Amino acid sequence: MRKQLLIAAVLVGSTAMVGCKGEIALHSDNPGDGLKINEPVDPAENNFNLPPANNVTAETCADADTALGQTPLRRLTAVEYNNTVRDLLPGIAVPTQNFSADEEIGGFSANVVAPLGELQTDEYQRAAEAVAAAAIADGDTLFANCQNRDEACADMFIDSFGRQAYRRDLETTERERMKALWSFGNTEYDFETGIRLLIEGTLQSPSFLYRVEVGSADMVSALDNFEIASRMSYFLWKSTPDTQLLDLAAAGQLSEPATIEEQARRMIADPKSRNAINEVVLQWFGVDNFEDVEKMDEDFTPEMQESMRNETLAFVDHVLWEDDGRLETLLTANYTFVDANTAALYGVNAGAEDGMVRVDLDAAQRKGILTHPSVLARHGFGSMSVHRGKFVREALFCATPPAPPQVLENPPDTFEGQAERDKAQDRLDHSGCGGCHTLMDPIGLAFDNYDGMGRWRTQDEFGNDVYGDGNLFATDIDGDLTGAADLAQKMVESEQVASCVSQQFFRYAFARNALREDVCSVQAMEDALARSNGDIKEMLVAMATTDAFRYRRNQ
Amino acid sequence: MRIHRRNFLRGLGATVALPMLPSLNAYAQDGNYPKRLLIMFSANGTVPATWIPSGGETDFQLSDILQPLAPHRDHLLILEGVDMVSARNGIGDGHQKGMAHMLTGTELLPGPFQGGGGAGTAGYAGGISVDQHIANEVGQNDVFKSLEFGVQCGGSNNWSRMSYSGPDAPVAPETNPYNAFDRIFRDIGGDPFGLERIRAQRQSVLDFVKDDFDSIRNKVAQADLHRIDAHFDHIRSLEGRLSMGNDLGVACEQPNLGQQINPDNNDNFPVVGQLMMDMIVMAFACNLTKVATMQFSRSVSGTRFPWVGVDDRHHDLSHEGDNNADAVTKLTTINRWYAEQFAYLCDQMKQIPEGNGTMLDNTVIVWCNELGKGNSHTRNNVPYVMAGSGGGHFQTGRFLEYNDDPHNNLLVSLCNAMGVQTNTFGNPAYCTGPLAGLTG
Repeated sequence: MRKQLLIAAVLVGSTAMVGCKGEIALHSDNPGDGLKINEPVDPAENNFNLPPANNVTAETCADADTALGQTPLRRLTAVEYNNTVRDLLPGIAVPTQNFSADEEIGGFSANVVAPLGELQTDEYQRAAEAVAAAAIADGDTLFANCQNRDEACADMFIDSFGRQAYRRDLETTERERMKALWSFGNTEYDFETGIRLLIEGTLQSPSFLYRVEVGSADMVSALDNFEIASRMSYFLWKSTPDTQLLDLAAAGQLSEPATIEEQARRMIADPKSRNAINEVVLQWFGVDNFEDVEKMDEDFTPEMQESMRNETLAFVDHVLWEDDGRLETLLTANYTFVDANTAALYGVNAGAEDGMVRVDLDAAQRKGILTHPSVLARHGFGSMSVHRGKFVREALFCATPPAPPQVLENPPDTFEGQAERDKAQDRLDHSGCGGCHTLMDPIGLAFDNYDGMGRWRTQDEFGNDVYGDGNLFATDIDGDLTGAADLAQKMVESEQVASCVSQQFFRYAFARNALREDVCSVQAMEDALARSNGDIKEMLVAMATTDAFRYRRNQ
Repeated sequence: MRIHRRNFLRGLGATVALPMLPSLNAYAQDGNYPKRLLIMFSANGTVPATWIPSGGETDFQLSDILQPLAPHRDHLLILEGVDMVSARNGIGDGHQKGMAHMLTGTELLPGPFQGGGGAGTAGYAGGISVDQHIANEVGQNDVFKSLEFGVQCGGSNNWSRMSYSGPDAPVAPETNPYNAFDRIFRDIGGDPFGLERIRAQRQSVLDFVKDDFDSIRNKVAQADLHRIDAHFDHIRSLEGRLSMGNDLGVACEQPNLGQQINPDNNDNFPVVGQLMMDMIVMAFACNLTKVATMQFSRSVSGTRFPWVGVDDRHHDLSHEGDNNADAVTKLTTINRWYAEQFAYLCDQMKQIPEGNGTMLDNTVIVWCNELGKGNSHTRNNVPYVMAGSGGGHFQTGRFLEYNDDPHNNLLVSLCNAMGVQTNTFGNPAYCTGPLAGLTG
């Protein structure tokens, strides 16, 4: 039986999206009673990310025409650049290059909007010179396949390095230009200088720095085989295609969905995929770094931040690659991995060993990735219920609350020592704040038992009692919450959450939100997730054969 | 004449020596000094009650926040009541609009950054920023048309970018002092013969790259072509720099930034800020550029200021109510610290003699903010402070009170001060000409 169209479920939610009106009560006389929404809110502006599909439904996807949204030209991110250079120069110790910040689209690094500036052009020159110098310094490795360092060696180098750097077969003129650049350096200086200049030039070429996809005059066109190879490798490895992929592309075999699926499975089995996808999950939960997170807590040291990140990384790695790889496990596992720093936050014993140990946690207090100190600390600042609630709604339900008013005169008064729950109530009671904060604060209050570092607490720093009563509103699993563990368990049943997971990986893969034209591509991911009982890797494999992945919209 | 002041650029953690340039001598000889523009940014609005000076236009008393500027009182223009009228329009949340409108005076474009109203997302600013416009006019023959520096400015998005070379084209600030130094000074101080070789090699590489751009141009989609073209233009200016400033290598010294620290660590915010300010003043002194920006953090700044006893995050504090005395005190402290940074820039420039005066006399420093006040997100009554007369263009030493004058007018005045003649800037719907009363 065909599963219900999850996108439709999200969209139904979107039409019932709230405006900035409505009331909700956060306080009950008995903490266990839960929260009450006093009156329904007005439907108004929605900004869910997936607009309605006009003509296509889940039932008609099988017969639908190829359709997809337009994916922008992508410039390599810093991680992609460094991975790519590493794979272009195997065996050579290439220093990691730093660049000014990447754009983030929906939380995932991707450079797709702003043209680069002079600063970044300078950075690419500096990086290319540093990488080329490192390569030349290890000539034994770089020229291991050459008998002599001569023209034949240069030709061989251009054929292999050039092809892999441009991720396709070189055009004759490109090959000639590469040869000419080498020849200039070789003639004026020496062989190594020629190769060095060639590397410098290649690494500053638009064919290297951008993932160029040649479109056509048609509205929609199939990607060529090399372009599919690049999409696959940057999707699953955050790096350049390997020789096997390029050879398959050259043989025209990546037009076949069955071959793509086979290759996707091969690539997912490669450790490069493990690193790449783990990093995606970390970005999804906002804990890939803590650069813009500052806390008053003296325990929030750089070492602690590293430990927090390592915990979530180890957990995600274990769930995806050692355990069953299922969404439910990610959301509700009762184990985690701690070192001495994070063990102290949990109040558990890390044992005598250095490094990380697996521990089981109290299921009433902890459940899955949402109760990791990293996630709780990353989104637990200021009025914590706002930021935690906003995070959950955006990252797990793919719904963005409306922006704050342009000008808010007379914001609610606050005072030192005020409980977060009382602040939240004041926001909800305020005519200018209440409607929108209804979407955030009641979710965030389910996390009130965790302090800004993610430690369990029953009182806040001022001695106010805290408890985990919260409320989910404008979702497909609306209702009262008794805490974060309760929230995590309920999410497992949510089709909106499952759809959101697909949309998050879609955003990562294409550096854009899913659009109405992508409905069948997202549906295919959701189907794979449902069919596999929530296996995230199966969803990734399915994604590689979607229209959105294999085609290009040109207008 | 040899201007050599090893001590004038003394930062908290470093001493930066002034490189020596022949061009300085040239300017000194004919007494014709360039005008410079420096825009400084700090975030999250101010505390009006502790920012607004008391008294009248010339007999004003500096407020609590502005007290550190007392030594520079005669060089100041303090503007109260200027509103970002343009930012009442278009898409974007309060901070996004404030940041994007601040120097462009026009609406944001649609785009992917969540937080905006309307469709829920917003893009980058919709026009060129005033610093880039001025740089295009006055900086064509400079080694750097402009320099954009900052401290912990955040990612590439519309909350973090204030400088734009055009619609949807943010200019990223350099936030790493060591990279900034490398970019400006890496070729200075080496042996001229070696430098000549490096330049010949770079030229051959850039020729190759340019040819590759030619072959890629007809392959990318129309919608993406402007990005490829912008990239190509920057390759050209990289190339142009190879043939510029040949004297630099002979005469300039490589300055010393001191022990390397992590520029992204909150605790290093003041030290990095000072290094960046030092290098801007030095770049001016060396005649490497005439236009610069100094961006402290970003809109929605979450910086903590433990070095002045404020452990809370700036943005969190800025959302506390007006009657939260503790928050008001801390926000005042934060903004006073920024006033100290502004004063530091004035101090440094005053130590560089130019003709009968100092560099400050030939410069305009403008301190901007994306909001008027944090907890209301208002872009009215934005706290502008300026220093330096721009070579006598502005009549300084005054506190001026305006009533809903659009900030686009101030942007026009900055153009005029820098010798760029215009009567409008940004979206002309929100501009009525130069800001009244600045020139006396």
